[in-house]
Amino acid sequence: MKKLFTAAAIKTLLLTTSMVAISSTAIAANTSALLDTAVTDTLLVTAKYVTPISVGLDTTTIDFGDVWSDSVISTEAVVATITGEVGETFTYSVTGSSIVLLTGDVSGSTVAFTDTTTKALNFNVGLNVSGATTGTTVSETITISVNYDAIADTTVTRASST
Amino acid sequence: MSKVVFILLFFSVFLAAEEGVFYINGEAVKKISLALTTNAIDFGDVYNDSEVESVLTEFWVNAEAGYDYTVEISNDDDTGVLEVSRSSILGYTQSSITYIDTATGAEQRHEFYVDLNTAIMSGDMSATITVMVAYNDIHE
Repeated sequence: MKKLFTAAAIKTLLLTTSMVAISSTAIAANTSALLDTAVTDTLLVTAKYVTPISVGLDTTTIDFGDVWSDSVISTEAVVATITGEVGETFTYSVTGSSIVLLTGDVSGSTVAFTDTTTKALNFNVGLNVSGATTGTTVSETITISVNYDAIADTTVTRASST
Repeated sequence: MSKVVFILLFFSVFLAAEEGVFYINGEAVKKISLALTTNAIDFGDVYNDSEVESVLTEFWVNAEAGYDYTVEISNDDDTGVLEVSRSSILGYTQSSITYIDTATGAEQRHEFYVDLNTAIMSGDMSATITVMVAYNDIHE
């Protein structure tokens, strides 16, 4: 009995007890994420802003005055300035009725805004007076139409796992 | 000898302690999960007032049946161009969308729409939409 309760034996017992207690505390510790922790996921949204294409004319009206059949009239030069996004291309057309004679830059496609945001189109407006008759007044509208060739559409990237 | 007597008395306190009973209760609750089916949306080339179609985006949530959870859809766009809605035609907002749902224990599908308010665009846009889900009431 005396040998059983020696100082060395008691120290060993206390030390062992302490180690067991410390170990059990460590085992009980919960290091996992809390259940009420928020879970998140993200997606990226992008868009490229493009300058709206526009057209400006240096001429608003042309009045050829008095004309008669087969009279000789000079054509009038008109400059259309197209404004758009560098790197984009556009298609254009200049149209009027058959009595209007158009020459020069009256149609084209894939015209590029290479390194500038503007492009000048030069065309001439004349009249086909061969069919003009007395007392007839000509009033026609010339239309310049421009549009981008390739505006990128929406693309969606799906997650690979779904 | 006195040390031995002391130690015996010390341990006798524990030996003499009365037994007690207490209970540990806990409920196994699965960790809430979230999966977006879309990584990125590129609206391509846009300009003022150009028409873009809204994009349907869906995500799946799996949580413990019977437990409520909150869903928040937010974004970091500070220009006000990016808009989201839970409906394809109504309710678009630049702000966050928050709502509560109850879990079924199975995968639950959620959806929202992403659109652009092109009327106020003046430059390129890049923004991140964040979807967050969290249990409402996990007992401590």
